[in-house]
Amino acid sequence: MQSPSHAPGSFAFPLGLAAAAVAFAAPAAAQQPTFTTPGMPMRAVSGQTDRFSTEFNPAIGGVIDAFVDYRNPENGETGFDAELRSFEVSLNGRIDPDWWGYAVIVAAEDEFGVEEAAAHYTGLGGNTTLRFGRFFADFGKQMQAHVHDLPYLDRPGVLAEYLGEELAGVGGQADHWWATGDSSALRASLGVFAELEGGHHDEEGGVEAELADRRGLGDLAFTARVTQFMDVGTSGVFQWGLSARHLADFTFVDVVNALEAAELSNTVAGLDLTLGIDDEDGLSGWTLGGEYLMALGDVGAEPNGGLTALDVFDDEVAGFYVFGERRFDRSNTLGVLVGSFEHPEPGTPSDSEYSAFYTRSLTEFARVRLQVTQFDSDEDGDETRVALQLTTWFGPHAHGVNW
Amino acid sequence: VRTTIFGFLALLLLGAGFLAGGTARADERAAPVRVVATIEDLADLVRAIGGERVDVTVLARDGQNLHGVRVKPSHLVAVSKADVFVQVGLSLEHAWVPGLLEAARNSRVQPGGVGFVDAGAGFATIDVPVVLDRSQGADVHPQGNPHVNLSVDGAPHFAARILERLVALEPAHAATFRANHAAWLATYEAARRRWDALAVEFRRVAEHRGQPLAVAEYHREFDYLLRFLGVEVAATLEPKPGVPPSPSHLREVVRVLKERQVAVVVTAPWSNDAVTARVADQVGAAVVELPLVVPSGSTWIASTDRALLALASALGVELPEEALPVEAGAPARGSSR
Repeated sequence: MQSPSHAPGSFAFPLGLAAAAVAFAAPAAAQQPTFTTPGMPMRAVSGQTDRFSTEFNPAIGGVIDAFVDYRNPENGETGFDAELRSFEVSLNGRIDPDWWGYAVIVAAEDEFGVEEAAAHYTGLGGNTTLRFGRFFADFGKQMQAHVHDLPYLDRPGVLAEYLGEELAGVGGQADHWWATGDSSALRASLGVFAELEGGHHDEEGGVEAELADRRGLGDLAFTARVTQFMDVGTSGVFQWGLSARHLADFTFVDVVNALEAAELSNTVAGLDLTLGIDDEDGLSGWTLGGEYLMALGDVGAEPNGGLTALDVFDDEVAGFYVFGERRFDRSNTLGVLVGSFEHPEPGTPSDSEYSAFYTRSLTEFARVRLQVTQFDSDEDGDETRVALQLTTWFGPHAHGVNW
Repeated sequence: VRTTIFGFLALLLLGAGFLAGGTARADERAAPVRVVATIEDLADLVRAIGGERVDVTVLARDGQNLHGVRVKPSHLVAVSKADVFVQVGLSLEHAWVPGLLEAARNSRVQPGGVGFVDAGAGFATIDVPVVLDRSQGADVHPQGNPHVNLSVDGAPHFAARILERLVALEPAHAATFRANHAAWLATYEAARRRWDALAVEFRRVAEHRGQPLAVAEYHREFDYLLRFLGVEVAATLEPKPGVPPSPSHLREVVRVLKERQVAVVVTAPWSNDAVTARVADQVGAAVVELPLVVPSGSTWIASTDRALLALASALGVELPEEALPVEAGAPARGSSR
């Protein structure tokens, strides 16, 4: 008997092996350059192995949030307007057993922006989570939510004024939760940020808070929150929370008049209370909630009379909002919101808002909302706004919001 | 002398440590397995198989829409301490269970973990969608109709998976679990003979009347039971799964129900609302509310008995002697959240 190596066509076997090796290696190399020259970065080869497969791709979702409204401000243009407030694309996916990540890209007013891009690390075990990247800081009940996910059209004025429309920051956050008995849990978080939205802002003058590019560790921005939620009876949940956000070193910048006031600091502290009670079917019920905020320190600025410098208001101002809504079934919700907050300017002028809203969920993925709001402002006069909002979701939707 | 005293104290502490550790391990072995089940149906089976070795907590309440259960703090705490988590799966609980498991951070019961039981996995579902597209409805379940706990074949399927996992977790008690499972199966098989006899009677009545028995449904939750009995669904009040009824669709439903002389509208507790009542009123039909899950304190077999009897009564099917149920009400243990 001849050994295989002496058989006719004996080159076929090693050639076949080589071909098979190439064939098996090809998928692993599919996401790499054809070859890697010395000194060039090596790419990970053990993750997704085929650029055309979808098994390990992130979940992709989209949101369209639009409205048409009528406004009649005392100082400003009266009439109708329609706006595509935002188009959001979100990506969510596991990175490995200990990490998951997500990104939220939003197009608003003809600009694309990365609202969030963060990775969560859960490999410490227990109930601790670390988060890094750009994300909405953990402050209060509703600042983590994107505007289209709120139960009403806009973020309540007190939150927008003292913290900003959205409290996005670049940094890291640790949070941990503990069971406090069989029917309640307590969570605490601490965030450290190199960038964080500043709140307060004089829309007309264009005064905005900006953090310095590089600072000492103690001058970074911090957030902290402790919250506990507990069962109330068989179908209710009550939650309280205390939150704080501290900007240790920031500058008020007036872009219009090219003025600055540097080395400022302020702190915003808040208390939030929320009660949700479901009916037996779980689809109908009540939600009542509110937040009280207090801002301390350098909480505002405006150009002086000669436009030569910014007058900074080192003050203490406060505000609140409360809301209540009744879900009649899984399609129809009726609610009201009342809010008020002080401005730091001389005389402590205040703004108030009174809203009534009706939300019709056509399905889980399409929602129409009618909202009527009356604004009373010591500075800007009164205004009535009637808005019809349409929000649609396609694909999965998640923002990594803490409870 | 000082060295001797320190040595003695160190030995004492070491001994105490061993004793404490040993006691803790003994307590751990003696403690029952903490099981969290999404619905009472699963909890009933866990109790039947696990006996005294399990302490069961149920998450969903009677009457809740299972696609939208609101997670509570007690759920989070229970799952965080659980040794076993049992769900139906097939996307029945997909709106709330993944987030709950993620927040609870209990690696034992994460999908793929030793304590995670996907009880419905592998069940031969009905209504598997051909087109996966939201244009087909809001409640589109890629793996088919997920309400398999309402199938007469559902519980034995779940029971086999629960048994397998309890045996794997507590091999020392495997014989007890297998004996309990066998006893439950014997009860099930007796019940199944009754239900088969009833299904034969349903078909005999339909043949006698010269047309299939038919009902209207709000949402396609009871299709497994209805198909088992040979009862057709003439119309659903939802135009598509998860889409609320529109006036034009309801007009068409009323027309179809009148045309086919449908006398029964089947509904769940969450959908037994004014719309259902109005449609039933317009066609002169009776509203039959069936439980979506086993009511607290009852058993899966007793609950299935009651559902079948309610349908028989509503559709005018007389019970044959061999279909008369024996009430099997096992006492509930553990707690419901």
